[in-house]
Amino acid sequence: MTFSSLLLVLKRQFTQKWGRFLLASGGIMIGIWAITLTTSLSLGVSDAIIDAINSQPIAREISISVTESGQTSYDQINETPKFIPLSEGDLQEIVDKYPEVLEVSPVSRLNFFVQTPAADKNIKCVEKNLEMQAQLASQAQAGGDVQVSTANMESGAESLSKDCLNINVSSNTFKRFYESNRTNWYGKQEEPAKNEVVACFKCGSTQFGEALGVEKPEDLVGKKITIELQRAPELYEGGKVLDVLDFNTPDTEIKESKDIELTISAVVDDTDAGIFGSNNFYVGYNYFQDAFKLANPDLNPSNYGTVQNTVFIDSYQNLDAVVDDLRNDKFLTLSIAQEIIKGVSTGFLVLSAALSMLGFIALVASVFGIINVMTISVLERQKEIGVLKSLGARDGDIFRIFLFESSLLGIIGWLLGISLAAAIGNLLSFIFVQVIENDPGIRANLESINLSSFTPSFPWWLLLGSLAISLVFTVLSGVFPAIKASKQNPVDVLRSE
Amino acid sequence: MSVLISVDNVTKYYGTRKNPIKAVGPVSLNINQGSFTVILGRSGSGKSTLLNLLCGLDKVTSGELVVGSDKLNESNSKKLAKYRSKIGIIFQFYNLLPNLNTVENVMMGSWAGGKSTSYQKAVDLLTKFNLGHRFKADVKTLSGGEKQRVAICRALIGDPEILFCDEPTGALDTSSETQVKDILAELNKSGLTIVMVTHNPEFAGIADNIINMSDGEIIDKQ
Repeated sequence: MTFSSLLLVLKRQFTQKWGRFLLASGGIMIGIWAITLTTSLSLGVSDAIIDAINSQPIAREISISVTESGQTSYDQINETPKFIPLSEGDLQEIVDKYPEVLEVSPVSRLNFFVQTPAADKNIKCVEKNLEMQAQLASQAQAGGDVQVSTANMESGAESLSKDCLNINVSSNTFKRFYESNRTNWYGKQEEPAKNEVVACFKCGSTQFGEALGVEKPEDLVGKKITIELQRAPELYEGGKVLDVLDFNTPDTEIKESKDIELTISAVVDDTDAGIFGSNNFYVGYNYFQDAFKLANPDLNPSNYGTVQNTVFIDSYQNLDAVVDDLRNDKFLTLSIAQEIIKGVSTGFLVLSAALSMLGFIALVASVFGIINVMTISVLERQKEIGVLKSLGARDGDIFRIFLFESSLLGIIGWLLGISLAAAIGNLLSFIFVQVIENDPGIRANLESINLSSFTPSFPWWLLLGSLAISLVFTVLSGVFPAIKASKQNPVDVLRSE
Repeated sequence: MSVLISVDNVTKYYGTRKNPIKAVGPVSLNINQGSFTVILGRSGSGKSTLLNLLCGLDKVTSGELVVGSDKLNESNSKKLAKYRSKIGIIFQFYNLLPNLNTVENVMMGSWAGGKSTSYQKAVDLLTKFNLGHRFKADVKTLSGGEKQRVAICRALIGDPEILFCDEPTGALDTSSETQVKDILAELNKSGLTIVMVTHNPEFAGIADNIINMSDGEIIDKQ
């Protein structure tokens, strides 16, 4: 038979029996709908999350260390590695070598006290803190009443917090710190100078602004505060291999107080801080060295370094390339963004695959329906088969007619399934937007990570793949009835009524 | 006139190997090119079975059946299909395809055998048989006579060498019967070989050869 005559027979069969075609393709429609909806939603949500992650400064941050054995990935680590600390000079070399790297900074804790306006001018917060700890230690050693010790501790802590605010310092690079807070930033947008500090307004439970009698974050800018360095960073002897059992570090406890006057150059309004909000101050690295010298007057800070360091790059698009370059240079690297994206992608892939199984079950079930419908169609059209054969149609032509017909069921089911998936996917996307718009709490949190909507994604491979799946199922379903039709004896079927 | 169809000791059995039921045979006959042959006989005489064998719709059980250059007794289903595309067949109950309109039914006579044909040729053929005004009509709305004329057009669209007719007037009223009879006579006059199975002895008047069958065998040839 000519191809146009095959199409004509198919067209006429469809136009006259379209209701049956729609019903028979229902199973395929449900299967394709389930597979494409779950996949498109997974892709859409996953893309939105990945975009949100990439819009955060964390996507431009890489943690680096150096190990004795030259391991470059945490995936390769079977036993705890031996680390080699990096000095300040080593960190500067990284900035100089990689054009994409803006800053490298050690990950190291530093704490200080800020004296409140109400504090006695002669108070030394560091000394008061040490006295309180010593008192607690001696009572515990003497086997004193625990309740008395607790009461004394609470009393001491209350007295300390009245005069001295305990502040954490961010261990981020300045650029990372600024990027994380730039929407809530007041004051100078550059790295604080030697005698300057970037403050948080609320600072979590510390209520820094309130303690200083300031109502608005911008009013803090330009104020002078006096700090006492409380704890030195943990630094290790530069270049020395550190055994995990012998992770010795110079003393971090500062025993002698020193008043340092700083000007607040900028303020981060963290009143409504979301999950990526900062409750930290930021000071230059020189104060890390000052704190180190106060705790260890006999040691030279420039001979010491850090095990964990943070590299901050210019764009998340360079993340993979910079990670690869750092690994080639034997740095042990970890990108939290890469790990999260990998986890998100894998998670959604698994979720999508699990939900798609429901679609496959529907497709398998639909096979029986299609075989049934096609078999009925063959029985109904025996006379047509006989006439076509009497006119010269070959067995293969009859086979093709019925195979085309079952394929058409697949195409119809696919079209309906895709359309339904697109409609429901967009409806869910619309509902999501409506829900978050009506809930300021959720909206604030999601907007803080640039996640306020998602769009179901229908990439070409999903459309073609689902069409292929649909055709495979319907063609397989149609093969048996088509063979049955093609093997009909024309005399027998022409005689049938 | 040369022999176009040669039937030599052909038999056709149905049923099982253990219980074969004879439908035809053994029969032998020759049909010349350009002749009008009528096969007469009562119901169950085997005339339609013989026609089915001549049309290549069914396979012989034994014997030799040659039509032109086609040895039908040795042909597989593919070769038989090709043979059928070269001949024309008309049936008692027309066997038009209800999903197609009039002209599409005619064109299918050529398309089914894998041959292309022009739309205009089909329309011209219908016009020749006084159906030009109904070429787009739904075949379900046609009268019996019109349906049979469409079936004749369908059989002729591929320019067949032979036209096989199985009781072509069996379902028609007298007026339509006369029309069809005249058409067939005209076609034969133009050189087309016609083999017809019928109950109707009136066709004997226009036939060159008359074959009478009974119990699957030829009892008389004229």
